[in-house]
Amino acid sequence: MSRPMLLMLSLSPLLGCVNSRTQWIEVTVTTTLLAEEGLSGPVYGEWNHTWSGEGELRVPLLPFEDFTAEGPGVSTSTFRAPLDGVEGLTLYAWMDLDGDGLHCAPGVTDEPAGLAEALPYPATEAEVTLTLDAPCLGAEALWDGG
Amino acid sequence: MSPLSLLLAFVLATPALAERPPQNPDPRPMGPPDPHLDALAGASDLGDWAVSLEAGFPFFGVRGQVATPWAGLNAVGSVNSALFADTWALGGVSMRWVDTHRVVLSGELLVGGTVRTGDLSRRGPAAQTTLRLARGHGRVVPALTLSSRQVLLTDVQVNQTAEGELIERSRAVAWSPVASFDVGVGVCPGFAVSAGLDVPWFDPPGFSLPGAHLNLIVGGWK
Repeated sequence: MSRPMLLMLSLSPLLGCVNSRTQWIEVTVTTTLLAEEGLSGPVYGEWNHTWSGEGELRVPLLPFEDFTAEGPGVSTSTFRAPLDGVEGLTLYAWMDLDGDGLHCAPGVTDEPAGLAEALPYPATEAEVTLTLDAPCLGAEALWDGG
Repeated sequence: MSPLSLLLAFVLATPALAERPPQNPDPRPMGPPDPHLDALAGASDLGDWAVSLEAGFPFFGVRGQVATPWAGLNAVGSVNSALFADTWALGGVSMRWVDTHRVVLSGELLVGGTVRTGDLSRRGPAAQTTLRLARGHGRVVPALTLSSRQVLLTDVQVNQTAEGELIERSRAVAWSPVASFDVGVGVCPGFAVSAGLDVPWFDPPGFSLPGAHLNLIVGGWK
């Protein structure tokens, strides 16, 4: 065995020492947004990890990516999600009927919201159908406990 | 004085010159071995060695050095841990750069690896460069040590995509300097103790608590 090869073999345990290894999945989600007939407006929301953390620190609905759509209908989103320490993919969205960029600002009581889980997960392609039928409710109020 | 008498005087004097004892090969007029000095100075004399055991807050460790016959180099091995959560295992060489009756200045280059556990865990190949300045003679030896530690952090991200698996690697170097001041005392030939203060700086610019330690040192026999 040559000396350079012997040196490389000797150093390989050190050079190959990895500090951290993180696994991600690039997910393309086809989203179908349903709303009451006659309602239209831009839709805003966020993608959530359905569950994250471990043990006593395990919590539901941790937002990690914004969601926007021009209105009800079918749209596609592509983003990266971690595979370690989280489970599931849940979309929370609401329709901005008055165009103020705020969900149910004071005096507004009719902007519909919805929550739905994308399946399958983890997978590079998933689908979710979300019905915007809950006026002025936040993600926590729509969460059914998983 | 005639040339003949000069020649006679030279011939008579030559045996006396030849009988002079050879000069001390050790340039330092150290007398008996000083293992505490050798350990605190970072390098031993040829044929000597020193091992020090350290305990304190936050550092615990063991360090050994042995002189080699090559270019005044010492072979050095060190395992050092901060509260057994940030451990460095290193090996390399040290050498005295300045070696006088008053002071000894040595340099040290070590390579190896480090593992830190806990919330700020990290691991990777590491290197340490150290300068040591110690008093060059006597039973009580003060010493100043300045160390610079670097660890190479390699983070790997594995991305699963519809096209397959993509692997991204990113690398960064984390720096952790440590300064120490020791006072060593020779207890008996081959055995010494020292006490010192540590000023570590883990992950600058964050603040790190200063510490203190005790060393037991053995070695130094020729």
